[in-house]
Amino acid sequence: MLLVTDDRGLATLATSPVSGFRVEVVPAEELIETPSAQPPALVLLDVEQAEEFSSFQLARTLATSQPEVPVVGLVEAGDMEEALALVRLGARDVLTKPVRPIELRRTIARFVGGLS
Amino acid sequence: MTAAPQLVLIASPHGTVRERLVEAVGRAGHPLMQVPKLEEQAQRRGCRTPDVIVCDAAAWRAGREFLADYGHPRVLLIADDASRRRRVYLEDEGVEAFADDPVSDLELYCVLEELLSREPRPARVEQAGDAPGANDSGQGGDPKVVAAVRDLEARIARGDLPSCTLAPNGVELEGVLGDPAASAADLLGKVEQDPSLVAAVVREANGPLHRGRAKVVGLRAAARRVGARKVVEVARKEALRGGFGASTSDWDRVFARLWQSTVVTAQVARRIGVLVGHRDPDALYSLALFADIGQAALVDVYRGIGRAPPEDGIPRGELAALLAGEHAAVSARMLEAMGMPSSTRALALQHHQPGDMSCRTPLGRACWILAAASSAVVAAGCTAWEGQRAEPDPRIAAATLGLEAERLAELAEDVIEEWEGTEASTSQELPAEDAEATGDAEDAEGAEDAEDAEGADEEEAAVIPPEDVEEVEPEDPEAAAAS
Repeated sequence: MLLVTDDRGLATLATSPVSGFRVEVVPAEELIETPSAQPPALVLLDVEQAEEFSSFQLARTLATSQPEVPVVGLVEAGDMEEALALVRLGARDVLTKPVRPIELRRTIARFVGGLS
Repeated sequence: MTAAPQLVLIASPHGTVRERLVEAVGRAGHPLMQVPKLEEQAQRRGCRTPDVIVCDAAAWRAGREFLADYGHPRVLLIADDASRRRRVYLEDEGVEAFADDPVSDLELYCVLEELLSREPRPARVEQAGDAPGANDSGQGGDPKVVAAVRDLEARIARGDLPSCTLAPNGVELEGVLGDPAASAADLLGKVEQDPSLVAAVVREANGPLHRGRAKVVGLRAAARRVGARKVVEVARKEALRGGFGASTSDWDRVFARLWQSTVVTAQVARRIGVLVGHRDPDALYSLALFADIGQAALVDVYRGIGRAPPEDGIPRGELAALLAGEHAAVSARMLEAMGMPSSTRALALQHHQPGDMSCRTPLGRACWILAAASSAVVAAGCTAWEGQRAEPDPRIAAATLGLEAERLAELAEDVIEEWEGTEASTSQELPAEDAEATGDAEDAEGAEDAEDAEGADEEEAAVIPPEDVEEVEPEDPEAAAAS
């Protein structure tokens, strides 16, 4: 599973109890330039990146190059426009920050399965 | 299906508009650049070439000539009210998609997606080979020709209109002005044989001195407004500007052929107008001349890049493709630069493709009349270039106007026959070398005579107020002597 963010605070999500999955943390810009060879099971995409709009560009890139990979957006609460933009670009769901671990587990379970 | 990310260049002189577009395009997931003016990015070296340009009308107006410097990317225009009205015209300039201003994220996303899902439109001159009338041997994509046409467009955009008046017509005009017996009707008859002269008079009638008044299109309406003295002044100035330097030697035959086709078409358009009860057949005549005004400009450009004239005076191959593909657009651009009403420009642009216009509107009906005239003239064998096709189908054009196809064909044949008959009789009256030297103008005069025979002369005499008629006659000998 890929957690696409350059926010250190959010990167702690990678240490959340999502047993059975290896979580990698990468900024969107890096993933656009060097896509992962192995399609991830799920991409958690933080909208706010240092490089403006790179998250949307990544969402579009994934939608065309790896459409089978589910993308879940992470947006600030109340940021409807960005959430809608991600959905237009193929995001399967959008979670608001701060993400609660239980919500994250449910979402992962919904798209990837295998979590209890 | 989502399209892959495309590099988008956002252009607008307004910072707030740019900011808004940057957000919308950025959220659509496309990498982007932004500039206030299109030329800025075009002139920077080493910059990536955008796949799509998203700009507002102001940026497009100021920088559309630089489109080629970007390698003809796709263009999405954020259209204001004026742009929406000029949509057809903008499409011809290369705009492929439109979004209404102010545009929402969702709307821009949808329009961009739709644009990227379409096949790119070929560059305009490269399209010439497929255009109506284009010959198989057309080489419209020759970089030299493309560059020359682009240069012409840039000059027109700057208001530097090409001078392409037919030289012998200028001489003829001087002849009329120098004839004490010539009437105002003779003068108008001579002026109306040359699109450039008509355009100059109409431009004067719509100029700053007459600001606030309704735009006029027809020569007679323009002449009524400005008066005969001004008609003389403007027409002479225009004839002198272009007539005695523009077309010379072998190219004269090409120009003459184009002029014959244009004037015959205009006459047919006027007669169709009378037949279908159009309220201003004379305006149709002028509009038909305007619609083809770009032809001579294109030939002039082609000659300017050192191409040899066709031996028999019949444009073919590359030149035919250029004329077929570009003349309507160049005419429309020239008319815009002349300050003609947008409806006139739209007619010029659409006069071979009236199908987009409803025959129930005045503009659409005029467009169909021009198209029917042009199509019938070509079908009757009077072509401006080799391989010119009668488009739209004359039968469809006739049916759309409620005419019998046979009647339309007869009309065109009659006008052509009158033209050719007069040409033959004029040639017999003149010594061979004189006939050759003034053949073009004599042809035109013959056509005019044919019109006069129908009583048009009386109408012409009646359209200028008597005081204006009186002004012309005593003034002519002096004017001729001065010249």
